[in-house]
Amino acid sequence: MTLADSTLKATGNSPLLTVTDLRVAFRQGQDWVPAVSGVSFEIEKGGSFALVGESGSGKSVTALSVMRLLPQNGQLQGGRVSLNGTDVFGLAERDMSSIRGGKIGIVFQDPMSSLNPVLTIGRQIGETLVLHLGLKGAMLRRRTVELLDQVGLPDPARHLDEYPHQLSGGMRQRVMIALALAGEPELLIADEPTTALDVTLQAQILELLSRLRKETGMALWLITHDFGTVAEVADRIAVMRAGVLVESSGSEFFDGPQHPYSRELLNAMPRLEACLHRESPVDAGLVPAKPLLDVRDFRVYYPIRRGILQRTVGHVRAVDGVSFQLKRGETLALVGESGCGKTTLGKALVNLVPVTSGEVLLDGVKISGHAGGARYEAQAGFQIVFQDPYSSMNPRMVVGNILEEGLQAQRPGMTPAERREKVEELLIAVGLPVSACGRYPHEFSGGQRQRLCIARALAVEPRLVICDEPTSALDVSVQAQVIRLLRELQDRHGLSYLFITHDLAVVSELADRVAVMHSGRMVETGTTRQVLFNPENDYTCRLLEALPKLHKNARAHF
Amino acid sequence: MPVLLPTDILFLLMLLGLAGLVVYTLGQEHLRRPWRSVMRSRSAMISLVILLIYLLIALLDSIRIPVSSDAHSNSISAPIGEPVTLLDFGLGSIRDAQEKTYSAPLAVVAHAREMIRQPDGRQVWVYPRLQFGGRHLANPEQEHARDLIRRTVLGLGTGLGAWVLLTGFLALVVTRRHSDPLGFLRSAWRGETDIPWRAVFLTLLVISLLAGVLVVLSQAYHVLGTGKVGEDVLYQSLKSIRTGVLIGTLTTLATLPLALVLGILAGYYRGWIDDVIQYLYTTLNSVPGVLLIAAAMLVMQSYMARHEAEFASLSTRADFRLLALCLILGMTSWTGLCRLLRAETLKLRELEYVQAARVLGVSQGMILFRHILPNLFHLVLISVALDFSSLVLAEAVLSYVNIGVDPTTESWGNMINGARLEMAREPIVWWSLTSAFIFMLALVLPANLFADAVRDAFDPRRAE
Repeated sequence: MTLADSTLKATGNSPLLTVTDLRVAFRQGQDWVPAVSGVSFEIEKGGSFALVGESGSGKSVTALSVMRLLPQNGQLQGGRVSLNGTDVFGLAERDMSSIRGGKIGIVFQDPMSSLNPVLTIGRQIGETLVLHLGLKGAMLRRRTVELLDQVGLPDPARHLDEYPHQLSGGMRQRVMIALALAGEPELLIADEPTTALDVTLQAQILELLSRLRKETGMALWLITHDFGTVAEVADRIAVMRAGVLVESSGSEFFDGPQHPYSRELLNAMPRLEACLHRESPVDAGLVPAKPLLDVRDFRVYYPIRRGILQRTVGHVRAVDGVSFQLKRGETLALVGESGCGKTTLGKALVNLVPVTSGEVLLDGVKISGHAGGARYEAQAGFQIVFQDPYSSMNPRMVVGNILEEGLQAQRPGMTPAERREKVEELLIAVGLPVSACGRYPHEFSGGQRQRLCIARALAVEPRLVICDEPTSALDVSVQAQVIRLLRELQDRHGLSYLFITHDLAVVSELADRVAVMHSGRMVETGTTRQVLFNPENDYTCRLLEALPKLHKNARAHF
Repeated sequence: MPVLLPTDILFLLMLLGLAGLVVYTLGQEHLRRPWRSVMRSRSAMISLVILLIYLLIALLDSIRIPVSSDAHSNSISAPIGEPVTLLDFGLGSIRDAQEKTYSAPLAVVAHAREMIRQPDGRQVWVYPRLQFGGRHLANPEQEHARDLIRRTVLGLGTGLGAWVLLTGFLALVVTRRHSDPLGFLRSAWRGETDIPWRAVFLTLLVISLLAGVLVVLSQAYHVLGTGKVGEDVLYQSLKSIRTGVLIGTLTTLATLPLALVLGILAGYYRGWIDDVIQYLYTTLNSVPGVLLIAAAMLVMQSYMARHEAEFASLSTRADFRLLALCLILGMTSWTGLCRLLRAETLKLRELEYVQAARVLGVSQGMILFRHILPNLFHLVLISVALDFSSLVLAEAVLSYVNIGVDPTTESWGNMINGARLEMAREPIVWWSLTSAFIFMLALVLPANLFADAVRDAFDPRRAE
């Protein structure tokens, strides 16, 4: 009760939102499956409360039921929610709509789909102002500009007449927050507000939320899976699992959580200091000096076409002259914000994107510049694992067929029995039962699917695996498991990884060396320890600055 | 040895393909799942029963047997040397039961009065007795109504008997794998089974009763009346089923290869291939469909006139024209599906499993066949099911403006076309039009309901 006390004194110490024994269930066929089973908590006036949990724990459902916005197949089965003493569940639907957007504002995860693409920013914010405050004309315009200014949108008057697609992701999230603030709410619910954003933007948005809370005296209810963001803004933290609150405490949470599940979650988080305790095989001299992969002056340009004849008038330089080397058994992390060209580089290396110029040598053999069949033969040593485990397997094929596809293509001489044996070997290697063969991808969880994708890539015995954000769509505990698996496979098969990510903590867990990319160029390369704890480039420093407080502490201790 | 015309061969091949598809589906879990949800829908199952009966009639009408000339001597309607279908054999009595001209349904006398010379030389202006309808009645004024009721009751009895046999057989097949057949039937009767068997049995009951009444009555009457040259309208309507079903199905056979190949090529390879294909279907789409069909039919007719030797018999002529109509309708209706498939392929090719396959070195053909095609299947199925009914209706419209099937081919469109003049008569001749309408409705409505159920089950956006 240190930080919370100071804010509470200023606003009066009474609960704003009280949730008592909330129960929600969803209908699946004939049965009711509980999603929230008996959740109770309080949010004080001006306080900030974080509800943390992995996907499917029921945290978003809790927020939706408080707003009375449950989907059709959901049902409230009991409990009480009172806002300032009024029973929310007892209100008529008419009164409820004045509470939504008026007393309670909400910010969603995806700023792209939460704004109406055919209305201007000014119109969308103005709508709420007209509805809840009854503003008109010049007053309305002034207040809209004020709000946009408050959320830190540069030159707000100019953006009023722009459409959502003209703004960047971070700006859109700011507009969403302005929209939520328009009704002058007493409580702002932020449901994963930074998950879809880049690291540097994440930091800015979190800072903005904290500042707004202090300025307006509203309470903030943050819903997230990321302990990093929680430590930044919340006074009170509750951990949710399978519809139940397992622990609820103040900011002392991070010094030592009480419940074993919270401890487990916190421990599963990738740590920035991980690289300090690990000896890199490069340092230990275990890695031969000759590079496995040698990329020289690699360029990928996209043509910009204009006019009726579609003439090329210029180029987008997605990857602009990148050179690097990767040794056998080594992991090189490719770090950068979205749009820096790191994914394009990965895809271009396996020829999914046409290469403009540059040379790629694998084990001293030039593999770029081939066409057709020869190209695929040459790149057989490369495989790729994608970010989204849901769209990376054909939903109409069973796992056995998915895994043996590469074998069929590259080892036509193998008999079905041999292939079958190899597939079973692979499943065991990635820690899945052999019985998985006959099942469809949709029968597996996200983590299991990512294991299957890794198995598919390993089937053709590649020397280099390009991992394109393989862990960012997964929950923290699953993420830790996948990282462990990748490390094990590396030790066993002597694999090299090119690990593309935006998450510096994961980098520290896994990578031997780090390359930082910014607008298509590599701005800094070095060992993980060097880059993370002793960066030389300004941009790298900015990336590290933006890290959540939890990680920054690690750097400070170092 | 049965005689097979080109459309018969195609139709039989298509049915074989359909059977093959069913067998394939049973082996694929991801396909079985949506079909199971189709089977759970009551309206879909009722529609399926009706559609299967239509298919069965069309099938019976597609197997032709050559008839020796002496067998023809007592038959009036079929020209000598023309092969006769199984359906014709079954309907022999009403096929050969010709009148002179129009007569109302179930009538014993003609529709219009005639001047008849009595044996004593007087001429009277009366409704003449029909040659077939109610021939056995000595005194129609008194016996007609009673005879109709007697035959209706008899027909209902026959229908009920047939239903008992049919459902008994069906129940035996269904319960073959159940440990407790009686218990299963009991729960089926209470409507508690997963698949609505009760609805299926009740639909069969209604159809059996109807068929029983029609069969018994048609032994002595023209149940739906007779047409202009005295042909039985019920027989005409039943014969039209094959035409309607064929146009609905064979046309898709012409549509699918074009739409699939061009749609996938355009979507997957993009670039100039995409440009050419898009140009092609945009151009085709901007020409009015009816104009194109009319032009193609005229070309086809002049071709037939120049090669008279090849189209010696009436049935080959009519059959060629039917086939040509299917092809032409197919040529003009592939664009919608092609556009849909192109868009879906554009989306699929960027998906990560397709990219992963490319990195694994899987060949392009294999990617198209394994990763793209199966994921387009639901779109094809939905559009085929939805198109079926509109094609049946298209035939009616085209025949109405005289660019449809051959005038000698029995089709609902030709019946409606003929009704143009019948509607202007006094007293009005309404039965041809009404029969065509009812038979068409009974095909199109279940087809639409079934298509809806299929779309609900296969469309990922409608999935829970």
